[in-house]
Amino acid sequence: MKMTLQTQMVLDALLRNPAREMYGRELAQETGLTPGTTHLILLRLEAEDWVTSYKEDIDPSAEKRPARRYYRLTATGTTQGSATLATARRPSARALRGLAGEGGAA
Amino acid sequence: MASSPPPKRTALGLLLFLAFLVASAAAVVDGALGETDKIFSFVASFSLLTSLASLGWVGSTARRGGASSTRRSRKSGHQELQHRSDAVAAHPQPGWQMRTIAVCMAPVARRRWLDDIAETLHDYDVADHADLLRDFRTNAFVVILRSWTIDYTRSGAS
Repeated sequence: MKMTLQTQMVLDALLRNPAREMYGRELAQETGLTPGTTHLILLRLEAEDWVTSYKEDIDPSAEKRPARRYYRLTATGTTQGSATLATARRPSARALRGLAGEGGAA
Repeated sequence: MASSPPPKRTALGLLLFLAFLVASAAAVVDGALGETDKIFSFVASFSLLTSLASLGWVGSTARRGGASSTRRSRKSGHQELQHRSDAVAAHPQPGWQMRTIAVCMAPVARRRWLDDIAETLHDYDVADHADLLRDFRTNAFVVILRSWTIDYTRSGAS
């Protein structure tokens, strides 16, 4: 799988606690990327069966917010994601900060 | 309010929109939508999205949609409309421009993209909405391609 820096950042955020379910804003805050960018990456990771997601079952008018979609790594995603990140070329912290600042496209 | 696009961009937008119409007409005349639907979807999606972007029709935010609802309710003074505009303000929804873009996506991604936008608009401050929507629009074309790729792969596998 093509591993852009942004994809690595999303994988890294999910791998910090593979059992944790995260929704859009949490992931965006953890990675420093924008939601539009993380959406695209998560769509791809889910198509590869690295990530699974579900939409929470709430009554939006009672909760006064739209239902969130939660993401977490699958067993495949945890194994292959860790292996891929371990061998991936690591960008410098400065480059990551720059990318996060731009919130660039995937 | 978005300003009018410059004449050159308008001409380009109209040209691409014309390409969209020609692609649509060709597919219908050909009568072979079943065989050429993937190519047609790509050409139609690209032409429509690009022409809309060039014409500046996809430039406004869902915030504007909420504001227009408020204006409508003021005009009529109808309580139900006021209630609806309050609901829109509480749960901002993607505007018609975003929904138009979503039409170009494969069904697998369409609903999710719009849901993600609604979730984002709720979770972030109104002042950030324009930038966030711009980001969604920037990535929209890749999402369209990706969604059709996923759709094609899944249909091929089944």
